[in-house]
Amino acid sequence: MYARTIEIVDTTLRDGEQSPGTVFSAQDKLNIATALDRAGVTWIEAGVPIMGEEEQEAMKMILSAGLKAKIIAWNRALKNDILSSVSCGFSHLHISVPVSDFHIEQKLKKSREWVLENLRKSISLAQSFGCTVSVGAEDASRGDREYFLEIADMAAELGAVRIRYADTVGCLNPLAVHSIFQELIPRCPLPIEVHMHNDFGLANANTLVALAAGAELASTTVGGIGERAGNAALEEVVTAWQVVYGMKCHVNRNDFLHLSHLVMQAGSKEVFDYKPIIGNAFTADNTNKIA
Amino acid sequence: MWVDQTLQEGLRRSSSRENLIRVLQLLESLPVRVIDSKVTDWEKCDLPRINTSLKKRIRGRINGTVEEVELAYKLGFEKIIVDCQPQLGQGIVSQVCSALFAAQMRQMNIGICIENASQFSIDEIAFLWRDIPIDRIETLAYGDKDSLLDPLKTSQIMILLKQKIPVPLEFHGHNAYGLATANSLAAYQVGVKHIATAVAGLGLNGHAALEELMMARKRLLGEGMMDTSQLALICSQILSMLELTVPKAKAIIGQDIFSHESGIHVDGVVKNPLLYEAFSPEEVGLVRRLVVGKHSGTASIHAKFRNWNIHLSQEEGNTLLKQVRKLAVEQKKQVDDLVLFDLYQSIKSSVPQRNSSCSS
Repeated sequence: MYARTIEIVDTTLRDGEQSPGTVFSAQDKLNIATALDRAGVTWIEAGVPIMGEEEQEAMKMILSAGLKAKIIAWNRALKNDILSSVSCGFSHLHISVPVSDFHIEQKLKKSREWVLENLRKSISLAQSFGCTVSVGAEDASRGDREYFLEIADMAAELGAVRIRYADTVGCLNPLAVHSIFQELIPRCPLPIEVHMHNDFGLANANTLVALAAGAELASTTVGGIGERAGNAALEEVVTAWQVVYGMKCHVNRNDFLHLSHLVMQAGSKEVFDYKPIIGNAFTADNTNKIA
Repeated sequence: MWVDQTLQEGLRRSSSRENLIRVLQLLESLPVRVIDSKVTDWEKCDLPRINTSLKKRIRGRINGTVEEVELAYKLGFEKIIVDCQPQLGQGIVSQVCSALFAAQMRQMNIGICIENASQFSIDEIAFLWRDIPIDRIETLAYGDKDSLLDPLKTSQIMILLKQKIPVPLEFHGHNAYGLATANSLAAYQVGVKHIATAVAGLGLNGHAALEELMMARKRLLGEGMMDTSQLALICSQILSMLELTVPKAKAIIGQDIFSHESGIHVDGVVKNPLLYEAFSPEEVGLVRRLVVGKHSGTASIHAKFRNWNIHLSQEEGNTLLKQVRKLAVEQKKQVDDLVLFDLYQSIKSSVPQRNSSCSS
C-alpha cells in the first residue's frame, strides 16, 4: 500500500501555552521550538504577538534562531493582530475566524457575510507584507459544511496555502469524522489541517481518522496540553500514524521523551503515569517493573 | 454494559486490602455491570470470599488452567472469563479446553477472551470459536492486546464478527497509542454492548476511560440522560485509593477542564459558556473558573471585577491587563484573585497621589 506522508503543525507554544495558568518564558519557548525543529516538525505555531511585548520578545528570539521549521504567528482577522505579527518579523501568518453560526452570532454578533469580508481584507493585508497565509476555521465541527467550503474557496482564490478545520469544543467522534472528511476532502480546494480538542478523550483518534480520509496536516501539542482537556498529542498522533496506520511522518519518535520533559518542566506540569507513549506506565522499563 | 478493569489494576499495583475494598464500594456508584479480577490476585490480596451481593458483579479472570478454575470455585466466583492467547493455526490449546470443561462442570457462567484477537482475521476468529469444546459460553471477548486497531477498522471488524458469533461480543481495547476510548466507542456504535473500561484509562497498556465513554455515549450519541453529577468526585476518590491523582487536564474529570484563561475564550464563555464548553461543569460535578494570566484579554479583567461588584473604567481595565500579563510572565503562572485585587488597589491609590503632587 502507498504510504502517505503527513506533516505536523505543532501548537504547543500557542494552544499548549493557553492551558490555564501556563506561562512559558521566552527562553522556554526558544528551547521548545529548537527541540521541535530537531525532532523534524516542519511547522511551529509559536504564539500570538498581539498579546504584548513579552510575547513579541519570545517570537523574535525564535524567528532569529535559524530553525529549519517554518514559524507561524496566530492571528484573529484583525488589523492590529496582523500588524503585530508582521512587525515581529513573521512571514507565515495563521488567520483564524469562527465559522459556526453559533460563534458568529453569539460571540462576534456579526453575520457570515461580515466574516467572509473581514477575512478577505485580513488575508490581503497580510499578503501585502509578503506573508504566506493559512486560514483557521474555528468551531467548524458545529458549523455548516457548505460555509466552511465557501471560506476555503475564497481563501484558495486569494492564495492562502491551507485551511484548518477546528473541532473547537472536541465534540466529534471518529466515525463522524470519517464521514465528514470523506465528503470534505474531494470538495475542498485547499489542503486541510485538522485541529482537534480532547474534551471526550477523542482528539488523537479524530485527528488520525481525518488524516486517513485525506487531511494532510495535523495540529498537535506535546503531551496534548492545551485549552481545557487539551489537544491531540504530538507523540500519540505521530506514533499511531506510523505504527497503527503504517503511514509516514518525518518526526523522530526518539525525541518524544526529551520533548515531553522539556515542555512539562517549562509549564510546571506532570505527565500522568497512564498517558500513552510518555507516561511511566508505558515506558518499557516501568511496564516490566510493575508487571 | 461497562466491564470494569480498575480494580484489577489496583490488584496489579498491590494496593492495600482496605483500599481495594473501598474501590469495590466506590464502583457501586458507577454504572459498571461487571468488575473483573484475576482470581489469583484476589486470593493473593486476601480479598473476602465472594458473597451473594458480589456474585452478580464480580467476574474472575482465569489464565486458562484447571487449577485457577478450582480456585475461583473455592473463592465463590460464579462468573468467570477464561483468557487465552492462541497461536496462528493452532486453535484453542488443550490446557484451555480442560479449564473450560472444569468450569462447565462447576456450572459457572463462562466467558472466553481471545486477548490477541486483533492479530487474526475474522475467519480465523470464527475458526477458533468453532474450536471451543463446550456449548454454554455466555460471552466472547475480543482483545486488542497490542493496540493494533483504529476506530474505523474496529467498527468494520465488529460488524462482521457479530454475524459470525452467536453470543454477545465484548470489546477489550488497549491504549498504547491513545486510541482505546475511540476504538471502544466505535465498537459500541456498531452494537457491541459490553466494553472493557477503567477509570482514567488505567491498566497495563491502558484501557478505554470509563468516564470518557459514559459522557461520549450521553453527549455525543445522545443516549441516556443518566445523572453524572458525582462523576468527577467518585473517579478522583477511586484514583486516590490507588495512590494516584486525577491529572488536572484529564478529559471529563480533571479539575482544570473548565478553567478559562485566554482572552478570546473568556470573552466567549462570559457571553455563553457553550461557545467554549462541550457540556456544563455541573454535569460532572466540577466548577467553572476564570483564570487571569498571560493570555487574558480585557474581557477577563472586567468579568472578574464585575463578579466583585466593582465597575472598572476602560482605562483601568487596560492598565490592569498590562500589569497582569507582565506579572504572569515574571512569576510564570496565573495571577491569583488576591494579587489582582492588590494591583487594582494600588492603581486606585496611585491616581489621587499623582493628583495631589500636581496640585502642590
